[in-house]
Amino acid sequence: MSPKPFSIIATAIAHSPNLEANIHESIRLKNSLAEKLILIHVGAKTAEDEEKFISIIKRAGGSTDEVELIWREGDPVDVILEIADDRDVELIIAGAMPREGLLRYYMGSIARRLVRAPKCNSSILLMTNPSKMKSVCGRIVVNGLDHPKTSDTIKKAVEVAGCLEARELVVVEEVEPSKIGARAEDDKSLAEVNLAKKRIGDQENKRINDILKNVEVSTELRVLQKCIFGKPGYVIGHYAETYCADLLIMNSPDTKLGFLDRVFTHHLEYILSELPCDLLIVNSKSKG
Amino acid sequence: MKFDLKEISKNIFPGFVVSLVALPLGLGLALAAGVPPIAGITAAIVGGIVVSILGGSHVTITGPGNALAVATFSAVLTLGGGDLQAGYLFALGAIVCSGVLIYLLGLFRFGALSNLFPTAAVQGMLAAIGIIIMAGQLHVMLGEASPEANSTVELLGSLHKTLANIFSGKIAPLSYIIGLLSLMVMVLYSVVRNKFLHLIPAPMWIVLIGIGVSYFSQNNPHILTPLPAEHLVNIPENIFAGMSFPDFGKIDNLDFWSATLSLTLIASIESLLSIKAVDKLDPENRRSNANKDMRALGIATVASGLLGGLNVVTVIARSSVNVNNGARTKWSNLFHALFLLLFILVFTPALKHIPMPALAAILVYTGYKLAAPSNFIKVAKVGWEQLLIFVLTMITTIFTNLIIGISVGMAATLLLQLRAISRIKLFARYLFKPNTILFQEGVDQYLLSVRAFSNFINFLGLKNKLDSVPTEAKVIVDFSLAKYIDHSVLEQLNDYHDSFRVAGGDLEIIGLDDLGSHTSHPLAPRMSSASGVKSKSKLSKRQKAVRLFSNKLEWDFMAEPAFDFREYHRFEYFTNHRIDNRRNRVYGRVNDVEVQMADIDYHEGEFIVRENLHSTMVILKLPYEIPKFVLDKENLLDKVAHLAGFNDINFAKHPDFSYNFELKGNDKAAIYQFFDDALIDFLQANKLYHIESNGNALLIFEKERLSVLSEIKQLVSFASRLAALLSTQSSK
Repeated sequence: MSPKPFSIIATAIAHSPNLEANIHESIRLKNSLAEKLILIHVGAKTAEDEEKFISIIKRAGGSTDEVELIWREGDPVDVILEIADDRDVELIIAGAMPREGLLRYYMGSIARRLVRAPKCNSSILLMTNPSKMKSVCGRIVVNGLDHPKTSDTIKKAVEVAGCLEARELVVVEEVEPSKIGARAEDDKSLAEVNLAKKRIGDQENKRINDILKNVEVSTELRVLQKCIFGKPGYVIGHYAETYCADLLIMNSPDTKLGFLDRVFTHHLEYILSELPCDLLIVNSKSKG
Repeated sequence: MKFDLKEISKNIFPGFVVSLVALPLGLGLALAAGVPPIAGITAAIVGGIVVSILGGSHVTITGPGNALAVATFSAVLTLGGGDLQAGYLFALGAIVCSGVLIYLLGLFRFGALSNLFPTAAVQGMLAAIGIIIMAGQLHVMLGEASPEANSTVELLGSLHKTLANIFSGKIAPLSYIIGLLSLMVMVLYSVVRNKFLHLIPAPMWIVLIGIGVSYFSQNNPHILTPLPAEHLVNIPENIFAGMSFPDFGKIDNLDFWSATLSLTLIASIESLLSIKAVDKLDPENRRSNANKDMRALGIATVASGLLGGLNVVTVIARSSVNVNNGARTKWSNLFHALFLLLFILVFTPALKHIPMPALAAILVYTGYKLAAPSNFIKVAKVGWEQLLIFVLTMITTIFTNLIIGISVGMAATLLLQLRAISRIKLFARYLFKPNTILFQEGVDQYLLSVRAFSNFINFLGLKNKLDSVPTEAKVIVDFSLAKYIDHSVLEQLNDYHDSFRVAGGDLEIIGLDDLGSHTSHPLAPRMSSASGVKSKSKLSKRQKAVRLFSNKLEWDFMAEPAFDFREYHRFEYFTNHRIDNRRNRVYGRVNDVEVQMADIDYHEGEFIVRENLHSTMVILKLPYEIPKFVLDKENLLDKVAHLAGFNDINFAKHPDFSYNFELKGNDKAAIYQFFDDALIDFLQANKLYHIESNGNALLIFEKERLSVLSEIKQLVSFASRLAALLSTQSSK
């Protein structure tokens, strides 16, 4: 088993039909990915709730020295970010619906607000289907954007893939079609376009290979590369859907994602508007 | 253009034949447009010269167009306010401006503009144009040179007056006799296959006969009463002296710009549709550069307008004559222009004897072809919605104008699609977002996946992706993530299918079988049955192909879904996949082994996390016991967390095999015995499949998506050969 990629992870819990599944899944993730789990309940502490939570933790096989319960009142997003900061949480886990309603989309759910928050220093995992039973994460898709953060993200993806015992990791290199520099209008320009595409594809693959050279990839894991031309963010989401991926791993956004980003959708917002599967956003600033 | 003398000389003859067609058509279309006949010839000459030098297509012919004649006529009427001569000069101004706009469309690469109009609406508009042309020209053909009516409806309504004039003797008999005779020539020409007759194109026969009769009657007035002067084509004695120049006096007028817009739109649509159609005729399967052609057409139109000519567009009929007569390069377009110039300069006196009813007959025939009942039937077969759009566009165009007509057609299409999909939210959510990705699946094989919905509005994204695929490659268009696909998209994909096929590639569509349609037409709109519309599933193209394939094998084919999945659930793969449906079954036997192929719809997860999967799988039912094992290629089984008691099995004797295949099982000894040298050699020699044994049956499949026909053939052939191998193995 490879070393665990995170030390402390945190999950926000609330009374919902998914409560038990959330705790089970978090404890399982802690077991494979991290040393310690903090469960954050936003709201007042009552003896009844505490008893209930502890019994679920026990049933899920968590021990009290590795799982900590924190109670705090306030705005959920602020509370979670505050605790994450205080306790050096490296990964925040949040449950998320695959698709938000139109109104919800523009307002933002807690999970998405976390991603869009400007001062979040942790990585974030959006879980679309927490379950009580163990399910295997077989296929992972990670972005291979030409960006300084990407090498950290791919390294983290390989570590996570190792810990989750995934079988396939696809690095998707998204390239803006404008980089081709030509348009297929007739036979001649079509040939030019395909030549340019091949050249760019080779360059991209080399760039990713250089990153992968410095990463120790377990022999169990098959790493593939795919160079796809199209709108970054959209392409990888659509690919994850056609490929039936279980986990999508992305760089953290560079800037705060505001309201306008949702109106003029781009990059990460494409994925946030409709999650194709679980989404892990790797924050390269966090210690790893 | 390349100066290869051999190539050039080869293209002289087709250029000559085309000029024989272009001469009468040019004169006739100008008459239909309400402008002097020479304007049509000017457009053809200028168009042929400019576009052959600057254009981006190979075997197209350019000149005055049918649809354009109607648009120009309405411009002449509105701008001239009844005065045809003034209207002509103002219309020339509008033509010059439209030329500039067409050039800009090409410059900003709007060559795909014509794809934005729904197919049925465009067809409706063309039918309306046919009726408008017929309404005007029927009168001329019957000898009424200037009927007193302006709108198409009035023209059709006053037809009985013209007929009455014929019977009362007010019209010279020779006029309608020539008219009707010419129409007969047009109709019979395509029916009678006579070598001598086909030496000269039908329109030229009509012109020759017309000129002959006209000369004869003038020289022998006692035998045949000559045609009155207004029934002969009016061509100036000296074409350079008689030239007209545009009048931009109405440039600040709204009517002027609406005419310009209408000319631009119709010219672009007509040209682009023709370019696409001619590309399919090109024997060398070259792809035209539509944007470059648009720029050339724009420049040609400006030049033609300045010299008093009509809009220059790419025309389909003349282009097909060109190809049929052996044209291979742009030179033929140039020669067609030069021959026309020669005719006009040398034979002016003869041309002045062409009877107008003869030209009108050619146009009546053209109009009929555009609005023929067979066009209605073709559209109706796709479904009543398409017919509704078609008829609505046609009627609106006839009663108002081309722009309003096509707009109404688009609005009607959109409303009907919203109704069919019954969820406006789907449209709202995805309308302005990308919905396609294209990636390479293997050497020379591409997958184009389409999400959400695909219709005439967002087709451009799909088209751009398709255009960037090399035509000799194979592309699979996967609609399994889409909920609605409209007729325009399927129609255009069908065109793409043809062009990929002729270039040595292939285009196949998958994921349509799940979507229902209202009619059995292969291009009828497809929508998910969950969207509230009751749909009758008819066989898709793929299903028909599979049926044909199974018939060839003399196996059974059943398209209907079957809901007995027990044999599937006994395989490891299906322990965490639930089957929903099993369709398109192909049954057969190889020796004592039963082979069964089917498309399986199944899913993983439930409710909001449900992932629907589709795959084409084969089951081999063996009459004897074999060990349980899993031979995996794509690690498809990693989700089965408990492959109880299964161990990795390697063969010391076959290191290559062990490297390429992951074999798991519990009874090692039996598996070693089962995988004998013959079987291992067989597996290594073939494509890698996922193969699973549950003790007395084998499950074989390739991908977690439906297979296209060629993959099905490979899969079935693999399974049959495996079955044959196993039965010899068991008999040993």
